[in-house]
Amino acid sequence: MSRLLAALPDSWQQRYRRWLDRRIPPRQSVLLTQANLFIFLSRQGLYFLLLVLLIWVGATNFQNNLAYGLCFLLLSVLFVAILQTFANVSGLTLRFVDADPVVAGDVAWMRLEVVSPAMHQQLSLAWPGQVPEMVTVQAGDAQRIFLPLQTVRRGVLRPGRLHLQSVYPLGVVRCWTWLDLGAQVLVYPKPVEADFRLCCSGDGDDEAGQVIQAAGDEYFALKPYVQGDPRSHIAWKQFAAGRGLFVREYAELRGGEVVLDFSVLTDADIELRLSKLCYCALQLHAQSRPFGLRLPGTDIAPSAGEPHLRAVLSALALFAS
Amino acid sequence: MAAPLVHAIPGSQLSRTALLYLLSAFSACIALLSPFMPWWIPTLAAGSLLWRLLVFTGRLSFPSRLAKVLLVVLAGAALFLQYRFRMSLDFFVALLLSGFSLKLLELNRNRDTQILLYLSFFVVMTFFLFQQLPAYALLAFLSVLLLLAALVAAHSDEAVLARQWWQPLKKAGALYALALPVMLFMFVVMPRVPPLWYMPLQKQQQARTGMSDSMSPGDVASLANSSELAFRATFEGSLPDRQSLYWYGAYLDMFDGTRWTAYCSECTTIWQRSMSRPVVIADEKTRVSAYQVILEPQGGKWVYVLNPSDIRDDGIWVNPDGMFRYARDVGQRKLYTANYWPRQDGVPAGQALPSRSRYVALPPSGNARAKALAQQWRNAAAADAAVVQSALDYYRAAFTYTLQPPLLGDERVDDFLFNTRSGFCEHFAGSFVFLMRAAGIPARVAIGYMGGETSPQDRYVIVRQYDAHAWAEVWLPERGWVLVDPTAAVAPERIDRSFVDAFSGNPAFNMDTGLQAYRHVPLLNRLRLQWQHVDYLWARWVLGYEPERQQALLRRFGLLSPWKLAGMVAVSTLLAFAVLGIFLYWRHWWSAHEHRATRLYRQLCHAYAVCGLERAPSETPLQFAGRVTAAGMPGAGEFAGLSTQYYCWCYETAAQALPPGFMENARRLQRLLLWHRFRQWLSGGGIG
Repeated sequence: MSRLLAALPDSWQQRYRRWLDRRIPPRQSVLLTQANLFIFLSRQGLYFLLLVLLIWVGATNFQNNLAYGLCFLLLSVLFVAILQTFANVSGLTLRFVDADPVVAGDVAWMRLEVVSPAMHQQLSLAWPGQVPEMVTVQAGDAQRIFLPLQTVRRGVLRPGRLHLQSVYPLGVVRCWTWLDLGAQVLVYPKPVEADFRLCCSGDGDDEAGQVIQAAGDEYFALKPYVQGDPRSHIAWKQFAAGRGLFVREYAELRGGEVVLDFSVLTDADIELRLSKLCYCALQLHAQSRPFGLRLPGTDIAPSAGEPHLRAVLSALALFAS
Repeated sequence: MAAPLVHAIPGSQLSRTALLYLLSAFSACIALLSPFMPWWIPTLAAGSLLWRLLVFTGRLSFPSRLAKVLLVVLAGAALFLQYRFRMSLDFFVALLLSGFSLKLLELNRNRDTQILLYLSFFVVMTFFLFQQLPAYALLAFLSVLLLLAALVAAHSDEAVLARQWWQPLKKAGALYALALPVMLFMFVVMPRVPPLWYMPLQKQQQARTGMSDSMSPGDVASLANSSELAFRATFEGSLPDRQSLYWYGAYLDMFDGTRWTAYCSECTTIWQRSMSRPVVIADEKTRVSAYQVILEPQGGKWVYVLNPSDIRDDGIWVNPDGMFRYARDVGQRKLYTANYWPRQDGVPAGQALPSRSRYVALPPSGNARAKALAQQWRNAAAADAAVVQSALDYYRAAFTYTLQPPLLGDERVDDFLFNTRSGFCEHFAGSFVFLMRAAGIPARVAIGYMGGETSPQDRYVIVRQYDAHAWAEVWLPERGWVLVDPTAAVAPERIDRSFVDAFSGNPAFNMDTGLQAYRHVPLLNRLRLQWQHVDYLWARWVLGYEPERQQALLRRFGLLSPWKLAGMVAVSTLLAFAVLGIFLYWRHWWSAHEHRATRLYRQLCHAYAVCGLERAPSETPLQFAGRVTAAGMPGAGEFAGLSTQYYCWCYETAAQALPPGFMENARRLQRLLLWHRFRQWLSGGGIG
C-alpha cells in the first residue's frame, strides 16, 4: 500500500492523507469497526480466485458437476473468509500508552495497550517503513504490546499511522487499517565521545580532575529494570529470590559540580555539539556527579539524579527543533 | 502488566502443528488419487511424506540439492516412460502429483504451503474426473475440509496451536458450515456453460467396456462378464414390461462373411441434428411415455433408445433409420430425455422399403448350406412370416445358448447352423439375418442392451454391460420392420428374467458382481438395493444436474430468461452475503457492547413495561425497583434484590464477576413475568 502510495504524485498523496484523516481521525484510543477497517483480497486471494477459475474451467470442460460443486464451495469459502477475517480484526481497541526515550539510532519500544472481548489471531502491526510484528491478542484483560521503532535523529519522533493488518484465517483476504494513535517518542541525541572538561564552562574545573573512576564491584543501589538497560547489570540474585527484575547501579566517586555549556564547544555542527553534550551528561550521571546545562535560551541548574538527567537530555533532544 | 506479546518473525517458518496438518491433508489428497495413478506416484508421494516426517522428528535432514535434482530427473523419466508426454488428463494429473510430492521435500515456508494447498484443491478437482461415486465424493469433500484446516493452521499463531491443536479444524469447520449453504445455492442456480475446449480422458477410454461399431461372434459375449454400469433410465409413466425393453444402439446391415457392420456409419451426410429433425411420429395421443437416460462414460458416441423414440438434444444426431448418436465421444456422464411410442405395426399401404437391396445383400460366395436351407423354407412357405417362423422353430429344436461358444471355422454361418449349434446372442442374430436375407426377406441386425434390473416403484431401469444383446429385425409387407429375437426362441429365460438370474450357477459366468453375489440373502439384497437407490438419486440430482434440469427447476419458480436468472443469482448472492454479514455483525455487536447481565436486566425492564410499568430513561435501577415494589407488581421482591445486585455490579465493582445465581434468578423472574403476562392476556387484560 505504501509502495503504491509512494508512486503517486505528491498532490495525490496529500489528498489521500486528508481523506484518511477524515475517515480515521487521530485518536488516542481506537475501537476497530467497519468504520475504520478496509478489506480486500490479498495477493494470495487473487491466486485463490485464479484457482477457483481454473477449477471452473475444468468443471466446464469435463461437464463435471462435482467439480462445479468444488468450485462453488471454494468461492463460498472465499466469501465467508471475508467475514471471518473482518471478525478477526474488528472489536479490538488499541491505545498508545507511551514509549521510553532512546538515543538516536536505537530502537524505541512503543508501548500499546490492546483490549478485546474476543481473541484476535495473527495481527501484523507495523509503523510505516518498519518491520511488522505478529501479535495474537487474547480475550479479556488489557494487554501490552511493544512495537519496535527504529529512530534516526534526535527530537520528538512521531512515526505516523500505525499499520494493522490480518489475513487470518485463510490468508486469502486482507483486513487492514492505518491508525493515528498520536504515538510519539522522545529521541535523545546520539552520544559522541568527548571529554566533559572541554564541555564545561568556567567554574570548578580543577575539581573535575580529581575524579577517580571506581571500577569496583560494589554497587550503589538497585533500580527496577527498564527495557534497554545493560543485561550485565541485571541483579540475578534478586531475581532468583523472586523479588523481581532489578539492575545494579554502580557507584562512583562524586566530584564537584559542572555546567555543560553549548557555547563552549567549537564544533560547527550543532548536532555534533549536542551529541557531545549528551555523552558528557550520561557520563556525569553515571559518575553521580551533579551537573548543569546551558543551552542558548535554556539554563538548567546543576543537580543530579534520574529526573535531572531526563530533563537535561530532553532539553538536548528538543533544542531548536 | 502482561508480558510482551510479540513473537514470530512474520510468515517465514511453519510451526510444527501446522506442518502436521499440512502433511495429513496432503496424504489425504494423494490417497484419494492413488488408485488412478501408476504405482510409482503413490510410492514417490509416500516416500516424500515419510522423509518430511522424519525431518520433522529430527531423524533426517532436508535432502541435499543433488538428491533433489536426482529425484526430479527420475520422476521426469518415469513420466516420460509412462505417458510419453502426451497431453491427456492422466498425464497432467500424474505430472501434478509428482511435482507436488517433490515439493513436499522442501516444504518449510509459509509461502510454499499456500501454493501447495491451492494445488491440492486442484488435485481434488481432478479426482472428480476419475471417481464420482457418492461415498468417494464425500471423502473428497472431507479432504477439502482438511485442506482448509491446514490453510488455517498455516496462518495461525504458533503459541495458540501448541495449546489447542484442534483450533484450525474448528475454524475450518465453521467456515465450511457457513460456506455450504451458499455453495448449494450456487450449485442450483449458477448458469452452466458448454465446454470451452475438448480434452480426452485417456484412461477412461482405454478401460471402458462397451459396444463397438461392428459385430462378429464373441463381441457381445465379451461384455457379459462385466457388471459395469452402462446407463440408467427413469420413466415418467409406468415401466414398460420387460419384453419390450430393447435398448437400440445401432443397426448393422452390412455383412462381409465375418463381421456385421453398419452401413455408412461414419458418413456425415446421413446424420442430421436431432433438433432440426422434422417431427417423425406425429400422433401425440399415442405417445406412451418420456424417459430420461443417465448414460455412463463410454468410449463411443452411443445413444440407447427404445424403438421408436424421439430425442431432441443439441449434442445428439439422428440418422434416417431413427438411430441416435452423440456428435462427440462421451467422456463423462450424459443425460438425455427421449419420447417413446408403442411399436406400431402396419406401414401405410403401398409404402415400399427404401434401399431394399441393402437389406437383402449377402456375400456372393460362402455358407452355401445355409443359403440352401433358407431357399428350402422359402419354397415351402408363401408368406414371409411363415419363413421367419420356420427359422425360429429350427433354432428352438436343436440349439443351445452358451457364454462359451466353440470356435467357428471359415464358413461361420454354416459351421454354427450345422455343426456347433451353440452360441451367444450375436450368433443367433447374425445367422438369423443371414438366413432371412438368403430367403429374400429384408433383415438387419440390431445391437444394444436388453432388459436391465428394474425397480418398478421408482420407475427406473439399471442397465449393465452384461445386458448387452443382439437381435434382428425383418421387414414384413404390411407390418414394416418387425423385431425378432432368435435368442428368445432358444433361451427364453434370458429375456424373461434378468441376465444374472439366468446365468448364476453357470461356470462360464464368473464376473465380479460384488454384493450382487449375495442377492439371495434378503437383508443384504435390500441393503444393496437401498444403496443402489442412493447412487441413483445421486446420479440423477447431483451428477446429472444438467442445464436442462436446471432450467426445468428454475422454470418452476418462474425464471425463464437467462438474464432474469443472472440477475437473480447476483441479487441473491449479495443478499445471502448481506444476511450473513448482518448476522455476524450483530453477534459481534452484542458480545462487544452489551454484557449478558445488562441484556437480561433490559429484558426484565421491558417485561415490566409490557405489564404497564415503564422505566424512565433517567431512573436508576434502584429507583425503578422501588417503583415496581410500590406498584405491587409480581415478583417485585425478587426484582428489588436483582436490581441491587445489578446496580452494585454495574457501578461499584465494574468488570468483576456477577454475584452467583444472578443469571438464574433473573431468568426465573423473566419466566414468571412471561407467565403473568400470559394469564393477564387470558383474562382479557389490556395488553398492547
